[in-house]
Amino acid sequence: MDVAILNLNYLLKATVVTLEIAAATVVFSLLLGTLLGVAATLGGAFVRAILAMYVYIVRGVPVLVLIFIAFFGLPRTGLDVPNYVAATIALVVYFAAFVADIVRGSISAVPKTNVEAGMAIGLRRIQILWQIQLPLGMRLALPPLVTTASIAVKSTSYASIVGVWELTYASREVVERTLAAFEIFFTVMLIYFCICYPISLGASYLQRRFQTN
Amino acid sequence: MNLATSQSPRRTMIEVKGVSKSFGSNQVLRDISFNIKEGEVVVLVGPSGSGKSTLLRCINFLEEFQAGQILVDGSSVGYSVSGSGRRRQSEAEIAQLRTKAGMVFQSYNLFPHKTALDNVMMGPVLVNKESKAEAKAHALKLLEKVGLADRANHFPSQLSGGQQQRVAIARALAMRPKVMLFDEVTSALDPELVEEVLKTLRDLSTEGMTMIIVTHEMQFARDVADRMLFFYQGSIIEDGPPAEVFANPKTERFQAFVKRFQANSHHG
Amino acid sequence: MNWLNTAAGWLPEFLEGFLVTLALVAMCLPVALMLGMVVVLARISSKKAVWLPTYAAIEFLRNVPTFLLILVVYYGAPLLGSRLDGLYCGAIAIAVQHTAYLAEVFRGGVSAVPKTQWDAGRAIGLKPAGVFYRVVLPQAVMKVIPAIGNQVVVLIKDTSLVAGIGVIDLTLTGKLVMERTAASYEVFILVAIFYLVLTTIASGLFRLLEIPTVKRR
Repeated sequence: MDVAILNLNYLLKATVVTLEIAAATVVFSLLLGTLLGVAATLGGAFVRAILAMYVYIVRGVPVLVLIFIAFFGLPRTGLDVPNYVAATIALVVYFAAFVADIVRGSISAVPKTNVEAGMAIGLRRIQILWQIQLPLGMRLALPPLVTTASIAVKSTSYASIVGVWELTYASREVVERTLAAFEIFFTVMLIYFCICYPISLGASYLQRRFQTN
Repeated sequence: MNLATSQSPRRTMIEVKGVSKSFGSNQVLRDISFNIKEGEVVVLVGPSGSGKSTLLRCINFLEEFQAGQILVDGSSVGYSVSGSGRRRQSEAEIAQLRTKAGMVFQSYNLFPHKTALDNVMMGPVLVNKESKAEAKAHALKLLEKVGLADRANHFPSQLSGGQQQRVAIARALAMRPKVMLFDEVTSALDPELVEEVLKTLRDLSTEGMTMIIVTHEMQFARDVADRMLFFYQGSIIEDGPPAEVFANPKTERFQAFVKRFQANSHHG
Repeated sequence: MNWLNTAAGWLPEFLEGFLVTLALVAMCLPVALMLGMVVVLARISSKKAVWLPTYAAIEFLRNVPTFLLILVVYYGAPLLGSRLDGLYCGAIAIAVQHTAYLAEVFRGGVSAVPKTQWDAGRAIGLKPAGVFYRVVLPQAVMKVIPAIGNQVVVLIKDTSLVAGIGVIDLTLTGKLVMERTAASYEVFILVAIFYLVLTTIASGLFRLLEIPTVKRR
């Protein structure tokens, strides 16, 4: 395992990049997804149909294909962005769909009586959304959103396929140089595990907590 | 009984004129008409599916209706009716009219993420644009009135069902409504908790509030109501003071209904 | 739509790539399903010596990126003396990870089966493993058919990752066609459509499987 320790510094630097990409993906897909989810709630059947189509496409297409589309396509539209930006954009587009679907579903899962109670005291539609549906909906949405975040972190590894330098790419470099595949990859898997497992535990905890409330 | 009644004629608070409603092909309300005067306590009874709750929910336009008109304190609810027909009111108009009627629901009334005090304050602050201080003072008074001033900062999950309903009543009263609508407010409660809610309703009735109560509590109806309306398959087939209706029912159906309730009654 | 014509000219290559993708699914899915049903038995064991390592292995596999697992097999296999083709490296990695995913899905279904079913099974004389496979698991599987369907879709999409180690599946075919023609990223839209067709069919099949279970309620 000396090989692993010798290269640990390098790998940890790469971990930081992974975390940066993951953070950017999670933050932007949460923002975009929540906006879309709320829009689908407020808008009519047409808006919801567009969201449904978007979710359907993203559900059925591999992340890697989206990353390729962004990586090869963005330069064509004049936007010459670094590879990690292209990959992040693809990841955001991918995960925002899931976030939007979760948000829309959670808001509509808020019991109708809460909405009616708001209507009965004369609240306007926007007030009901802001004061009642969003706070209660987001509580319901947290467990699946946290799970999605965990998946997003793992997906950053696919950016390595278009040459983005992050943890997976760096680990490949080290393995090709040292040939110590098992030691290096085991260390790297451990790093990913240490990031993702706590997140998934968080999701379980949130799931239990909002079950009883 | 409403002690605030006097000999002078009271004005009409609720007018229901020829209201009909269907859910798809199922007609739930058939040409319902009746008036309610200010200060009257009216109880709506009848078997499940007879339309009593639906009619109640039409009064504050939580349900639409295909025909007829409902006026609360002189204002038409849900639709503006003029010579050329009726048009559906705007969301703003409907929201405004709902403040005239306070409604208490069967269950899961209170907003779970807000304290009892916040629940009661929400309407006045957000809709009537009262200041937080004003609203808070008023809310605390109302909570005291329903006997829950000491629970002001508790969340609904920390309150019993009966306590939650009493807070819900305070929340509805906070909007200073002209009429209070109660939709089977004790049906979802454990038997021990029913009485505290009924007591609150009794107190309200003696203060002159116009109340429309959908309930299965026959004893309570007999004691408190000025008038009882019996719904059957979308129509009102009995209408009068409870004592009279019970003594001289016009229809067999009502007699059968009462017999069933006396058999099932958990008040013995 | 020039790119469509160009891409259409390469249809044979796309179909070959599509077949590689299908081959991966065909290899990994049955294995993951069957092994998952075995692993879940270990996972729900009451003996700590059995369920603890199983739990650790499942959680470990569920919390690492699929592509990394593929790399482990790809770079590790030669070290163990085998000269596995990239395709099989990918297949092994995907099958192993999805065994873990499916074991968890099955576990959820098993925990939803009433405890009385276990008693009933033993009462008619079955041994624990028999009770599990003949009484409890079939019911568990019926309860989680939608979740299994979701996992199948995930598996189909995960096969695209072998493109990262040079296996010419549908995704890599797209990249190669794009590089050899004037067409650009639009080629991947065609690739996406292929995947959408495949995943839609898979989802549809599972929706059909749900119908008998819904009717029974």
